[in-house]
Amino acid sequence: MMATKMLKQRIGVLPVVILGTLLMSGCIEQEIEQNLHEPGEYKGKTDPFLKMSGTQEFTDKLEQRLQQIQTDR
Amino acid sequence: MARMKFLCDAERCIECNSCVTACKNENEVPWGVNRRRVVTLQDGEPGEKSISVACMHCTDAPCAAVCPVDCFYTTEEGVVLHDKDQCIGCGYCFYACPFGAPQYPQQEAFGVRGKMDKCTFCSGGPEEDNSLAEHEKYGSNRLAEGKLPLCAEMCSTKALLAGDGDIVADIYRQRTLRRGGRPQTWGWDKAYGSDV
Repeated sequence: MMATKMLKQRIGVLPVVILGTLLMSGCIEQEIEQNLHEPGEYKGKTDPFLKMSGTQEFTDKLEQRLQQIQTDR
Repeated sequence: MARMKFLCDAERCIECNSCVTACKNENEVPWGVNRRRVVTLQDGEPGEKSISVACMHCTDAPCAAVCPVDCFYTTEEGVVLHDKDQCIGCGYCFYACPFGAPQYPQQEAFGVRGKMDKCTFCSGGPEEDNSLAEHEKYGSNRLAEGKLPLCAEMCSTKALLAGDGDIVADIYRQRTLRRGGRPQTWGWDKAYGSDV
């Protein structure tokens, strides 16, 4: 009696499992771009030196220094 | 735009290692770490030549390309710098670098690497310019003071040049013209043979 009841319960669950599997396998695979990590982009702190870097005044200063110190006298 | 470059004139380098000493002293580099080294080719043989090697601040730096945490950045002058707080000491940059520039202080037992350390072209790192934190982590920031790397500035024979690549190349070109040719201790002939 007990075994028959359990069997009936299992049979009742079976269509749900089959339907669920079919629904999931029938899903259209959407191409989703997952960017877990953006390569090549600096992730650290900002360097305050970068504000000064690249300015014409700074470049001229370094050029003058190079000519003054490292060229032959 | 100026691009900062190092150039070592092998004809002038006398292997005095003062560039190595100057770098270690200026940046207070820890024991066991050498940001700069003098490499001697054909040691003990006629035609022996030495060159001073450190980070060459590559235009397309392979260290930055392989870094899994992207701790490298490049300044407008082309100086390749890194954030030590971001670095995980994985050692990938060391394998990628053709000059062996990245160095790792051994901080723990069993060869565990510390944060990577390398030449900063005397321009510190991502901390307040010339602050204590910057000096402790990266060394001095001479560029912010309008000076160039000390290794080159105190080279007694002016073999090591550091500064705007165009001017450095001009200085070297003038020397080569005066000397009538460049040495082949290193270069194309050494690498591929004179008949290639």
